[in-house]
Amino acid sequence: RPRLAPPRNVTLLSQNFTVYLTWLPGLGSPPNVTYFVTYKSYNNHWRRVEHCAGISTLVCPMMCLKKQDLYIKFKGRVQAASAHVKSPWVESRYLEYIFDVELAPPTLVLSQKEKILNVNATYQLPPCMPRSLELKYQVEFWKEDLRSKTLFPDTPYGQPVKIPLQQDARGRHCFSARTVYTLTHTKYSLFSEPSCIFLAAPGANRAV
Amino acid sequence: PVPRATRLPVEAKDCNIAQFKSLSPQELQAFRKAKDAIEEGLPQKDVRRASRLLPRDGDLQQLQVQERQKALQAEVALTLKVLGNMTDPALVTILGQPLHTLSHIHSQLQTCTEPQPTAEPTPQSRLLSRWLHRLQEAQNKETPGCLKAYVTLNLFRLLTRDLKCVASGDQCA
Amino acid sequence: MIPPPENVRMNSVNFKNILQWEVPAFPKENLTFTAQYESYWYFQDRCKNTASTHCDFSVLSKYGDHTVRVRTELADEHSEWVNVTFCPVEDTIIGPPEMQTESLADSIHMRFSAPQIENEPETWTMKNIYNSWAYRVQYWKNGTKEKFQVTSQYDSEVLRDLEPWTTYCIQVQGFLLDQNRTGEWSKPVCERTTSDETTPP
Repeated sequence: RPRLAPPRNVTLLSQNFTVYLTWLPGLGSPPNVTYFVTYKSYNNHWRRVEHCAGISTLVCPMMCLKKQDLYIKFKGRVQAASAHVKSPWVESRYLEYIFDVELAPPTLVLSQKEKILNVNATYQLPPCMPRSLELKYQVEFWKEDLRSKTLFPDTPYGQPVKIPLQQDARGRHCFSARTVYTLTHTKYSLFSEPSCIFLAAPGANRAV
Repeated sequence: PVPRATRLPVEAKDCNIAQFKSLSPQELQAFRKAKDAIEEGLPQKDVRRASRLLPRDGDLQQLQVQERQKALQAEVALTLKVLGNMTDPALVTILGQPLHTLSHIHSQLQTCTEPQPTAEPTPQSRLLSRWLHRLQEAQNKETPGCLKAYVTLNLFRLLTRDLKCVASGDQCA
Repeated sequence: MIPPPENVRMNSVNFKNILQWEVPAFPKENLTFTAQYESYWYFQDRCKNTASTHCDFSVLSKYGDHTVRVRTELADEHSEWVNVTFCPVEDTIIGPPEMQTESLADSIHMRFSAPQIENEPETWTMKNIYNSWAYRVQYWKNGTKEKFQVTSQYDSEVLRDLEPWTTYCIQVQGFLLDQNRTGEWSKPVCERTTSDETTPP
């Protein structure tokens, strides 16, 4: 029986708190090839990923799947199909979410009150993300025309960073923040794109 | 080595479970190294069978704060008993410090769940009875291999989610 | 009969646990030592046949009591063990926190960071181990004896309504509220206040 070339570089990876299976087409794949994805927890059998049945893209979201237990490692596999001809399944390596999750920077919300600037972090987190994951964030703050930046210590997600404003704190000030997650090691997200605001009348409230 | 399970952990002086809101990365790394080493030798049939024993999400949170400590104590006791009976020399070296930590957590939970002399005995909830029954039944009926798979699969749920919940007291909702 | 090591003690600061001892008086040279810790089942070597007089036990779990021991050895002979019981989380010395200060008009803004812990990531500090961690600040006008104290559970604190154009010296220590346990003071840092008017007197 003729077989399709198997997909290549099948990888289960985490990005921005979520998980994806990615791959490349097999060598010599026909243009109309489609793909089927299944996943397997270490303690379970293979299960279809419904939203990645007969897709033509090369990536499949693998987060918040049916019966998924993010405290237990899991892996994915993909099969190519075209005109009733199928490729062998190609598996990824295991991924353990609580150890292998990769982070996204927070979105910052600012509010100014007299001489104190309150900075709060917000996130778009997957609904099934284990709540026991303790996220913290670090804020960097600087006056736009000055080079020296102040890096504030880790602050638990849910708590604000309070920045005392200097007497002459006018003009454009910039912020950036990254996420910090520590389980067996410390992981950092990238810093968010810097955003600058004009420090004006107190009580201003804006998402950055 | 002579399994220490026969040696009961020293009673903790006072109930200070809050200190376990998050175990240190070094401690968790030692647990992970042990888990990975044990997982390598687990037969798939034991792993599959053990899955049915795993607690469902949210089970612990639904219990009353005082009862969560009892539920966790039973879980830690089973984990200590199973892992404490390991004889493979390679695992024994890796498990030394993690089991020391677990036995300290167990002795803390024992102190925390000890009924106060003046307290009125409170009836055990159905949820807690079901939780304890699940663990007791597992020990009565399941093979050592299945129990080893169970405590290994459940280890990091216990250490990060359940222990944190109990250590957080009524802040864990 | 080989004499045991002398003056055996655990020197622990921020969970850097160093067992130290002294060489016993003994006519022969090249004595060696073996130091062990009691793991869950039995005693495990930590430093075997070492000529030095210290051994690092920072790998010990931070929780619960540990028994560590050391003996002297010479060829096939050895001394009795000398045992030390040690509970890292209760016995380790809390080292001095770090502090950054900034003078703003008649106040001084301080930002603290808790001491780092041996073998732990930099983001996991003494503050993470102890739930009731707080910073106790001690400050005084430079050249005077009277000292004032402030305690804060946050990483930043402000000394307000200070005298303008005056130098204040500040120290900080870690403080465990629920155990009334204190750590080592940091070196004093001195900062000069200004005032709302820009020109000094």
